[in-house]
Amino acid sequence: MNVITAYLETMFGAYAPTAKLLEAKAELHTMMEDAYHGYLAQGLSENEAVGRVITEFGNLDELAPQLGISAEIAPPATVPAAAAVRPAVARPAPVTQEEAERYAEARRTGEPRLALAVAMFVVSPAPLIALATLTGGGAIALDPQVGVMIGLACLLVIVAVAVMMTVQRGQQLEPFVRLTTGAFTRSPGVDRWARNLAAEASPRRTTALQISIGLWILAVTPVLAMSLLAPSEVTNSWIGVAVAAMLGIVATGLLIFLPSNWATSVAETLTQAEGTEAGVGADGRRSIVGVISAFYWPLVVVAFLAWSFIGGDWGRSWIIWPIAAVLFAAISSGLHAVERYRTTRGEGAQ
Amino acid sequence: MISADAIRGYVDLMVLSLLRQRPSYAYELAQQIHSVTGAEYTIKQTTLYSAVKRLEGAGLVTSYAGASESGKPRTYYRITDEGLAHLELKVAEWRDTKSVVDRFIEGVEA
Repeated sequence: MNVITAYLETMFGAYAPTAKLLEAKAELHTMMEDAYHGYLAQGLSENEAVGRVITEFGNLDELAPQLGISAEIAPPATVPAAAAVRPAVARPAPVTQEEAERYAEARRTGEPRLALAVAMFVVSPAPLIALATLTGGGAIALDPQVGVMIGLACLLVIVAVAVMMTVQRGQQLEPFVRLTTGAFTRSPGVDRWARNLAAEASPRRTTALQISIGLWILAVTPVLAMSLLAPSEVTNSWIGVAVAAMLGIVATGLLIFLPSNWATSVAETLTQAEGTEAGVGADGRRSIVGVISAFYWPLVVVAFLAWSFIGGDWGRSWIIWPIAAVLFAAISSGLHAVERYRTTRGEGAQ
Repeated sequence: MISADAIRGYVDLMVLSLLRQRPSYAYELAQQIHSVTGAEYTIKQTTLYSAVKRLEGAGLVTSYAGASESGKPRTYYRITDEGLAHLELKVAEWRDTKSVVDRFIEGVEA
């Protein structure tokens, strides 16, 4: 409800409070309040109801003739100074509530798929690593070359599917390119709505991130346990399986965290992007963990394959994975700490 | 979906025809419009409010303070005699408009 009141305050705030204007504000407030309660009665959540009501608000331009604010809303051409300034400060069209909601919806529905794709990139080498050491150590009776071939085939199939999913999601977000590149002017109503959205999703996101970081830190346990506790002949064959399990744990963490991140990311896109440069800045900061994992893990895969094939050292190259995992856990918890510091500092400043 | 521009000229007609049945307030009007149009057209609050105020300014409807069934204060609108006459004119005009446009689009696949 407060959001609706605040929205109207922002919309009408720019104009002198004449009797007609106050009357319009009061009546529109009643209409919006009625509509809000109507949507709640229909079973919508508070946030959805507020979103719908704000979407259906319309445009103050329409009221201009009745309220006598035409001059303020559209300055007449007889003011040469204003006319001369206009083209110089030509700003991109403001983001509309409807557009923002469609974008948020696309992100919300698309995020689990992106998370799955990233997780698939991470686990893609698991069969290869497991098979290479199992066959190399003689734990299963299979020619090591065949084992590597099967593992590689799995890797390629998983990566291909993950790439297809990523491309598909890119197409899903194609209509919103103006939002993602920051080529829009912010609107107070959408700002409020987006912040509200992020605030509502924030506790779940924090919990998810903490669980994920916990998993990432614990991910090396199978590898450590195997190399410290098992006899060396067992370790030689089974270390690959331990590494595969580690990758599975890392991927699970990504599956938990990434889908919970959409609202925060949407709010950042909608509220921080103003003009293209700022937009790129916001883009750079958005979901650093997500961005890093999208580049980091494929790079590790490349490094692993290069070492294994060029070096021909399948028995030892798995070591790259625990190192990568520890590094990843360290990076993501470090970023999380920075983010929390920034948030608390931001709250303190307000 | 009907674009807001396409229907703009007929919001007055919609409001007047609803008020012909009984006096009403803005949210109820919006709901009645929605129940008739369904998903094809959702009226924006500012569109409805400006239509009602325009009609009031032209003396086609009058407003009075009332209370809804739940007891909340609402501004009610009632159609005037001029409003009824205007509605008749507008309905006749719409029938003519429709028939003229229909003659053009006959045979056009859609």
